[in-house]
Amino acid sequence: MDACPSPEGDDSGFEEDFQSPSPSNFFTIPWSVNLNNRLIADHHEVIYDESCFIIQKNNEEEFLALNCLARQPQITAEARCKLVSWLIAVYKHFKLSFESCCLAVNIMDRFLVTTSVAADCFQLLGVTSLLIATKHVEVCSPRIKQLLSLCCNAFSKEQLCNLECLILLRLNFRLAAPTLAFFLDYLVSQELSWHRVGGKDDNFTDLYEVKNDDDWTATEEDQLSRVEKYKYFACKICELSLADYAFNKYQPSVIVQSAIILAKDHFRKPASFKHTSSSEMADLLCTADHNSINYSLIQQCTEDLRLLVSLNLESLQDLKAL
Amino acid sequence: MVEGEDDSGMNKMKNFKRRFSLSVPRTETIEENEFTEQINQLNLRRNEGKGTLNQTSLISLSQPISPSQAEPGQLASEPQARSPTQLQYHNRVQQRRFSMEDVSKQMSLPMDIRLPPEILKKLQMQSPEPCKPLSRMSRRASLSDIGFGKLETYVKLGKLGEGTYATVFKGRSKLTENLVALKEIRLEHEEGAPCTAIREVSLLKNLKHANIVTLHDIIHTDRCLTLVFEYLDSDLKQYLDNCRNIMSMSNVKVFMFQLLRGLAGELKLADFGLARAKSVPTKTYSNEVVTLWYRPPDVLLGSTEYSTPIDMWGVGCILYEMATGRPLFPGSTVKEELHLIFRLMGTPTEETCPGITANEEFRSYLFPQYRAQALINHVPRLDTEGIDLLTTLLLYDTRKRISAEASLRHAYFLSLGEDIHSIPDTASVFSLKDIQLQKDPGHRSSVFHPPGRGKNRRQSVF
Repeated sequence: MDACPSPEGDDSGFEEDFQSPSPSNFFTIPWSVNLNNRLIADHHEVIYDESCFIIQKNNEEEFLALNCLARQPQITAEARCKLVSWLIAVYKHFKLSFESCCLAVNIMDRFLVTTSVAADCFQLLGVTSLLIATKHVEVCSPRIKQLLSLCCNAFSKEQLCNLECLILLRLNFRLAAPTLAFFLDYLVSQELSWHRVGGKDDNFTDLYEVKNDDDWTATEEDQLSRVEKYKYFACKICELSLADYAFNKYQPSVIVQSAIILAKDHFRKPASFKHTSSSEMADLLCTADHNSINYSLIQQCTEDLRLLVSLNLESLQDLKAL
Repeated sequence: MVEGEDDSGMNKMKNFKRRFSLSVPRTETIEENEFTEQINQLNLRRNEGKGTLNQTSLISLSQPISPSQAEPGQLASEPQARSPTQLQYHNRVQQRRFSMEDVSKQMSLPMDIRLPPEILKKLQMQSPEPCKPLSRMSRRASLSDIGFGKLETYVKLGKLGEGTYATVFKGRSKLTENLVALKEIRLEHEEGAPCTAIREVSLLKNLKHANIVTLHDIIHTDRCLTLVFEYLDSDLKQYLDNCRNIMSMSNVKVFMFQLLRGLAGELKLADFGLARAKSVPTKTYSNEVVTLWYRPPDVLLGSTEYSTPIDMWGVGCILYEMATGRPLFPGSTVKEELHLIFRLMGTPTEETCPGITANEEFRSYLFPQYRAQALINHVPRLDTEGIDLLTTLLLYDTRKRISAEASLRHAYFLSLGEDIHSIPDTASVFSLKDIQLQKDPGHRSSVFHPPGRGKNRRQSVF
């Protein structure tokens, strides 16, 4: 990554518009090649998925909506928590993807950074953000009428459409935010393909499993169902983190890594119980960037999430049956 | 937005950010007074006579809604998430009020517009200290001053086409005197802003490549969004029509190369931010049928994995279409499409397409066992290398299908010379002296002026 030239000048982000950004450099960085070697069978797909991952990872910072409530006179963290919890219920009601839900929260937060919103419009902002997110992600979006009726018709269609335009303009149509859903899918599918190949590579330590674990002798189906289980659990944790303003400061990839660590701990056999080392996890994604920063971030985030999970045990009740 | 601190890690991230984003949402507070005024005007214009949302102060409704009426949580079948930091929140809540100025200052203009070199020169000349780079603010102000983001800057010349959501006009920029294409998208629809428009703008913002149409400017007027594109003389279909479907084979090669260049390496769905939108529906959101002619059999048989080999099949179909003047597999249903493919390329077997015999959908169609035909009999004008490229583009096995990167190095393109591989992404292949379009045998006018020879003009067929 050091090979990339660093453009001089101020931080205006403007002069680079005249340069020719050559994203192709991205696909030749050493560690991506290293990862590619792991899989021969799905070679095409791996290169493809991985370049998606690298791009998303590098876009994260730009799409963070840090301190989005800091300058809001009326919107509190509790209000946000309430609204996002409601949005989570709404996205499930319409059977939308988790991606839409994550993107909706991101759109909402980034809009809050730009514009002050009154408390009585906050719910309208929530559904409108969800509508925009589904238009970007889903094949079919919910009807405006349906969305409004979920708000007990407290708002008019005209209000929603006006706000939609305003959000799009304030966000400058920048909607391709990296999301929790993307990183969750990617990291779990990485693990699945790793299991499919079924072997260890000296260059790539399996970061999810504790070594010498008996799990390695388990059948492929067992592995799959285990992965499914903790993916589900990790997704639940991610949902909780969406609603909590305290996690607004973390990049989605950090939250996902931490959630996976927690989920793994949860499903580990009590006998071999041992926290997955955050450093192992950090290695996976951060070989090329500021390792130490990310390492402590993941540790911190994991602890925050652990607390969040312990406070929300009843909402995770159904998971205990797993 | 966070601005990176002085550590090298952050700087690295920033560099990547630069490479990847041509536009960063600008949300920092704008300090310059002169600019605030401009923005206030913009605000006023936007608020005039419309909108129940008052944008200059708080976004709020005139009628307060009673909590019982619109309580979030109507649907909350699930318990609400509790926050570990909830207690702290109580203490932190401050009823801060913002002046109108504060809020309006936060607005920003679109920044991802690209200045033509002439304007850049002009700006540099106006700058009192040419050595010192313009500050972000003054540049931003200048951009708007010279007319970017304003509809008055463009003169409509005539309608080029009309679709469900958009009307495209030919136009001219008063700034550069260049021809442009003005795509007017109506934002008022039954379901609000059309998703196609939302996606198109969001995607184009991230793209810059000589072989992808460039978005120059975005103008938002009342209930309309106008996208300003570079003006292209014609698309491939019009081009083919114009030369009565008989293209010079040397032009076929140049166009093929351009197409592959656009697809090679850097153009991935991830660039569009759609990395996980993997389904490939047969019908669009608005239930229009998407053309099946360029779809590979794996997608027609239900594969939902989007990866680059999907595009490469379509590239093969286009190569055939350019060389013969007619579409390769013009099926109108999935079954007919597959039938046309199998009749020419042979019905897939476990050998040509591993896993096919286990594909339920494939088995249910009960296609006859066709044998593959020799492509040369169908595309007699294509030379041996061209036939070889076409064959590797139309392979059933996605893992064996040639990639865009590899195909650029295919023997078929050897005659274009070695230099063509070293031109930068944003430069046209026509920046090389040796690359020129030939007169197409079937062209209607007697003299053919190859487009894109101007200094700042880009050539693109698509």
